[in-house]
Amino acid sequence: MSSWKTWMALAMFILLAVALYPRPEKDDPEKNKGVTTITLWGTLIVTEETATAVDEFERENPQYKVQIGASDARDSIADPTRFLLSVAGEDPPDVCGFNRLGIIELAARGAFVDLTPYIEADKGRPDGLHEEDFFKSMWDETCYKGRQYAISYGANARALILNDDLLLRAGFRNEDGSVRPPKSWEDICRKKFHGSGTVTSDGVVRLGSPTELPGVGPFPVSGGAAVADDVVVLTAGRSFFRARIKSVGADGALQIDFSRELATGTKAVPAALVNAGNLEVKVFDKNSYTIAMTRFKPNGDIDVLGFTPFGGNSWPLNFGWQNEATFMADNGERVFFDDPNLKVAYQYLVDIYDCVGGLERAKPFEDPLMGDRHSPFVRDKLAMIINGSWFLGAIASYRADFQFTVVPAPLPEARIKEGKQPFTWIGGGAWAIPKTAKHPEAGWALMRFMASDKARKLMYEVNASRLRASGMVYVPDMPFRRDHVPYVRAEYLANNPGISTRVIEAYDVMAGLLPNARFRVPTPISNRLYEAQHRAAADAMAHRASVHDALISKTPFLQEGLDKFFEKERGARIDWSWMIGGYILLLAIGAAFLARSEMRRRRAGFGRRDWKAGYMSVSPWLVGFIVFGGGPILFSLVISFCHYDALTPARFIGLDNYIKLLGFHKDSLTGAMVANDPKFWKSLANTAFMLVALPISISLGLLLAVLLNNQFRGIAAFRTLFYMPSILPTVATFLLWVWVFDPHRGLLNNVLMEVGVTHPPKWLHSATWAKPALILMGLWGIGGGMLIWLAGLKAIPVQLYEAAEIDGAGPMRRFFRITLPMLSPYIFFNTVMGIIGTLQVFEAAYIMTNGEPEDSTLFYAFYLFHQAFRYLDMGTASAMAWILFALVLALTLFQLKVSRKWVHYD
Amino acid sequence: MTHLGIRIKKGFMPANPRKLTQRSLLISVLVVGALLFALPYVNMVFTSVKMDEEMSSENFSILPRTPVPRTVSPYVMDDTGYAIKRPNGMSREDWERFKDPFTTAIRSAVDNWYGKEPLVQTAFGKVDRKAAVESLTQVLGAGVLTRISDSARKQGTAAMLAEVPKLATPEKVKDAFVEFMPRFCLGDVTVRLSDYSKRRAGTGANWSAASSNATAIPLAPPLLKPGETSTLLSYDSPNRDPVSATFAPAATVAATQGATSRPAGTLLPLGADEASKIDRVYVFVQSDQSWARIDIRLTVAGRVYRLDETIHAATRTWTQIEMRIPGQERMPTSGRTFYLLEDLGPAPEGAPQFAVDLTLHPNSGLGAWWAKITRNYAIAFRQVPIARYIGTSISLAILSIILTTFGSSLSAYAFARLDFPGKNVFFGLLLATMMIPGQVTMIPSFLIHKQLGWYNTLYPLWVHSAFGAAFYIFMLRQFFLSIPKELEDAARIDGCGFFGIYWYVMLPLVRPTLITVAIFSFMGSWNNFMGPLIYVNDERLYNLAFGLFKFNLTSGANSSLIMAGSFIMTVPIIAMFFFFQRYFIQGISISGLGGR
Repeated sequence: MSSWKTWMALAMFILLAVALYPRPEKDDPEKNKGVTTITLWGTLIVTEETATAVDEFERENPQYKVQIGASDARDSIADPTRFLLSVAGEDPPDVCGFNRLGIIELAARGAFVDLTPYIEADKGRPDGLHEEDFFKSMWDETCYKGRQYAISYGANARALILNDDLLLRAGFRNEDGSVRPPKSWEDICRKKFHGSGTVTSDGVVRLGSPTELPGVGPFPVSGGAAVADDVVVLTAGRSFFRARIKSVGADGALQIDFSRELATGTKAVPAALVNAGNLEVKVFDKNSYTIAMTRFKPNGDIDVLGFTPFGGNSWPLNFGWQNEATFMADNGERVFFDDPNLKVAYQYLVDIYDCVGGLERAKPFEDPLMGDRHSPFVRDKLAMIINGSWFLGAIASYRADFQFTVVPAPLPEARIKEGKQPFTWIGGGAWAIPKTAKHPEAGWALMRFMASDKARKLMYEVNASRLRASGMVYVPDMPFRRDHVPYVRAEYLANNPGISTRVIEAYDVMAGLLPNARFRVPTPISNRLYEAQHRAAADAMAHRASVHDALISKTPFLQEGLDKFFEKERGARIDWSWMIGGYILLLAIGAAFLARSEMRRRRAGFGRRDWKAGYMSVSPWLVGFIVFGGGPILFSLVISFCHYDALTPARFIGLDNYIKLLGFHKDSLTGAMVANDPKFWKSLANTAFMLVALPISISLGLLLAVLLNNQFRGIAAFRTLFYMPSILPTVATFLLWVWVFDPHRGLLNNVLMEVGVTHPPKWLHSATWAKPALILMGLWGIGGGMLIWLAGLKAIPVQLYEAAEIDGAGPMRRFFRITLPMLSPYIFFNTVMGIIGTLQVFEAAYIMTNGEPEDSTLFYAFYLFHQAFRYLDMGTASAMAWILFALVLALTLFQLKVSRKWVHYD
Repeated sequence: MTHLGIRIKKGFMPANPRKLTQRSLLISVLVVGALLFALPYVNMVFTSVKMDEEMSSENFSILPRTPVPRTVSPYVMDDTGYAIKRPNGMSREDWERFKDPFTTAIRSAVDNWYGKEPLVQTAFGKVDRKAAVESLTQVLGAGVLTRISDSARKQGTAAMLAEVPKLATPEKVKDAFVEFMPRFCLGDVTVRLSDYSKRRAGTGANWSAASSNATAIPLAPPLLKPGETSTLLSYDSPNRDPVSATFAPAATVAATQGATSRPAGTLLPLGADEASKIDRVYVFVQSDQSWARIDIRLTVAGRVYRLDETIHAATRTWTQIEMRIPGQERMPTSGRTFYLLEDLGPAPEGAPQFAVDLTLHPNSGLGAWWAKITRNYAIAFRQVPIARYIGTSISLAILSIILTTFGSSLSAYAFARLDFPGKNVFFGLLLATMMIPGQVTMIPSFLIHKQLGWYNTLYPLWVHSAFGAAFYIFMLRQFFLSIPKELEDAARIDGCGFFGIYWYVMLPLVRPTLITVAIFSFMGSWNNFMGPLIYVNDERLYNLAFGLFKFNLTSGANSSLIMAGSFIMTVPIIAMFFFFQRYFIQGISISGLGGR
């Protein structure tokens, strides 16, 4: 260690580290005298345009300097991670941007400054922010209980976009040859019958009586009796069958046609349906837009899809509104997830998928709806879609010749009769000032500027340049201020040769919908509501639950969040200074105890111990433990017994968090015992599933090691090759596998299709295959394990094998009687470490899947993270962390005990 | 030869025939396995050089497409991706009967339009008409086949053929022509002045050819939309001589008439006195995918500039090239989509106040490949400050390595060799912390760092290393324990203190283990993702792992760019592996850690 070369190298490395250490320019205190630094956090997408506007703000206001950051980490909708951490750390930004969905949730918890006084004070100021300049919806979405908490900075509108060619092809044309858009829900998908029935294996369907939707009455149907070519859908539980009617018998029995739209060779109805006796039968009108435009390939897959309600950007919320559904009580304290209008809307969603053959078959048309050149809509594979204004830019960029029409998404016939008008819903971001911001006044000045004409124009210009630089056509998104619409239209659309009149017409239709747009319900549980809507829709569409059950089952989750919020001051407030004092006391007691035992020891006549050297040497670890280990551990133990959302003081609530996670209660409807928190168990089950990977990777690694435990030239190259993937950086590996697993364009499925698998799994997009996909990815890294086994194999004395061979033991016997026992300590160690590692899987879920689809990759650590940062429940998150610790401990102790039976130590 | 620390003694193929079969079997199994293992990585590398259009699900190929350099433009595309194919639901017999009359009908529609359009004769005169018609026939035919109405399909092939004239309209032929005839076109040139106002320097009509191998032909409707102006640069450069065009501004007005008097959406012309105020220049170009190198030189107010980067004619869409004269403006901390201009010095005497000179250097096959390979990487480096991320990551890795090895080994030495009150209690605590999941302390740790004023700094990402890591301490302790006590005693007699013993006696003896610790802490630091996620907000402080994640989120669906970024991230690790191979292997075997 003392050689000068080592020192030189060390010095060089330190120099390099210092040279490369990033040093963002420091504020010069002399130069910045009288300058206020404003911190501004935007969302991911807006940084570039924001930076431009901020530059101009600084130029105009030399008394301010702005530092830009990002307030979200994973996605702009439901991830206030960074924001919460900054509030908890008492250093929040002065202005922060959020998706408007999250704004009210946080505002209701007192995270943001009430902007109403600022707005009032600015009345009469020409550059002030005035309600009348904004679209009403965009102003109201940031309003909670009559107070304004944020200022919108962006908007988008959604409408029904039609592929003219596909509509004309199916004959949806007016007299004059123009396209005839659907006028109502029923035009898109008309249901003639919904009720019970039976079927025979050769396809004779007899209709029974209409069924009732709980709380609604009979399923609403229209369109008269079934005729030939209408679509019949039969379901029993999750078995599903769709076919066309060949003929209608005199007695009303329907004969199914097996020659069309079913995979070639289908000659019988699945036995499960025939045997089920009474089925759910639905009959759909053949002239529904969705049915008439959907085309099938000979193998039964969909070639062209008529309509997908869920892809693009329509969400179940939209359909709820269209049917006048209510989600929340006016006072915001109760959830109405059993609203009959909501049920009808959800049933409609389910019907649309059913009439084209079910969600699974329509899914491929939704997964890649990214608005890029590979979107099925742009490629003539999808006839109708409800999508947002941003999609116009993609159409203009990738299909300049595209013939399309945009109309407001239609309403149900019943609502049209009531005189209701079609509408759109909007989303977008908004700026807010955190409560504990240091310079709220300066923040307001910045916000005022960001919403000004000048700033907006600069931002449009930046976005235009950015898109045009990559060969795209720029179609601006919807303005959030009324007065910007004419400007945007004139500046970027009207005189722009790259933009066809169709795009301009479409833009006008969407902009025309803005004044009466709907927006997501501002509530303290926005994220939960958003999630529950999606989950309920997903469950119903996949026939995992009836519409009624799917909706009802999500109600407790929502109500719990609301109750927790409205619950008044429960439990004793926890004061942090007491905690810190307690910890110091604990340390002192520990030290005193040590000192006392040391004194006793000395008195007992043992030799002096070298405590000075000892403590000096162990100090790195000890200091680290006291500051960053013990304290936080105790802290988290305490808050696991508290209700704590990081924004308001923690309150002691005893074992409630643990009971909520681990407990069961009797379901009031069915009387069955159900878990208080099903997602907790789901995440545990998901994590347990991943343990399957351990034996597989251990045995495969061992096999590989045995194969590579040979001596010949070139074997080292093989070892390197097999080992390499295990050391590749994790983020890069995850991103690579996301691409490999891409269901349509990825390596894996294309190879699988090449070798004859006609329906390869959709991997990360499929609830069934997402976890196996992650396991498969894990197997790529078995090289690390392989090397351990290899080292173990090399350590086994050759004499053992020689002796066994002399005794007549064959290769298998030698493997099981010598190799395995000799390797058992290695296997044991790796099993223990593997289990601990698996229980903490986080990054793969965070980076690759975000816990989706349908919570199938919601692993324990990831759910814990969600509890803390998505549901703002640090207390429950800490409780989960301690349950995890208990699990790890129990499993390790168990293995230690069991290991005595099988682990062989020399 | 020593490789992977294992000495190879025996020959490759044994003489014994039975062993030979076994060996061959083994090798073939290994080869297949190795190929499977290499495939994802190979896929990453190949994807990283693909163009966006190569990534559709219809024409999947592992290998990137070979770029075809062109010396003649406009030209006929070899592969448009469209072909007249039997539609679903039509029987083979029907198709046989239908195919030829259908193709003929389409072909004549294309040929008619082609012959009638005077602009096509002049601007595309050098193009082989037959090949062009054939290529467009396939494009148009494929389109028409999807548009034939369902009612005609039901009636049979005759009805379907009857619909062709209605669907194969001149308008549609034109659309196909505009979309699938590669050409090099030059469009509007706009500038931005230092007061942020924009001026139109000229339209596509202000471009002219500046070399003998090129002609500039102004395009007009129907090839252009009303209001659009652009000039097609037709060239033939068999010896790959440079092809140039030059832009001279439209007649300038004497003084600016105030920005308010113009109708919205139009721009005022560039004033004669305004060239010195220009700070950005935008040039619209539709390149021809000829893979030629595009060299742009600007003359602005007596100085000559050129782009800070090489660009190639790689796409076929209209692209706006934004060029900025370096000045006071703050550079974005994230990526940029514009080019900076490099000052080449004063312009020659008599040069105009404002001019754009564009030169195409037709490429060779190899050159085209090089252009294609570097393209995505250049974009990635421009859109993301990857170089800075790498620097930060390396810096953090070095700090972590040094501090971890020192901190862990010193503490481990204390636990192994020194006797002090509470040692066993502490060791018990150390073992316990190994079992406590990181999530337990995530939130409180954050609060503590905040109190220390370390939020939004890099300290939380490396200072911790000085405290050692429980696992490494445990591992090193085991190795210290195995060192004979006599060595220590001898050193003590020679007058060494506890630190001297640690430094001069113990550390050299556990060197391999230390290197293992160093390698693992390098990998841990290089992969650190949660740290920046929680503690760092300033984009200028991101490390590579988090920067790449962020890039993935912001770059949308462009997989080739993400793969380029990922590949860059793997390179240092692989390089490191080849340098320190022995220690990697040793480390794994010693620690029993299986990588991930």
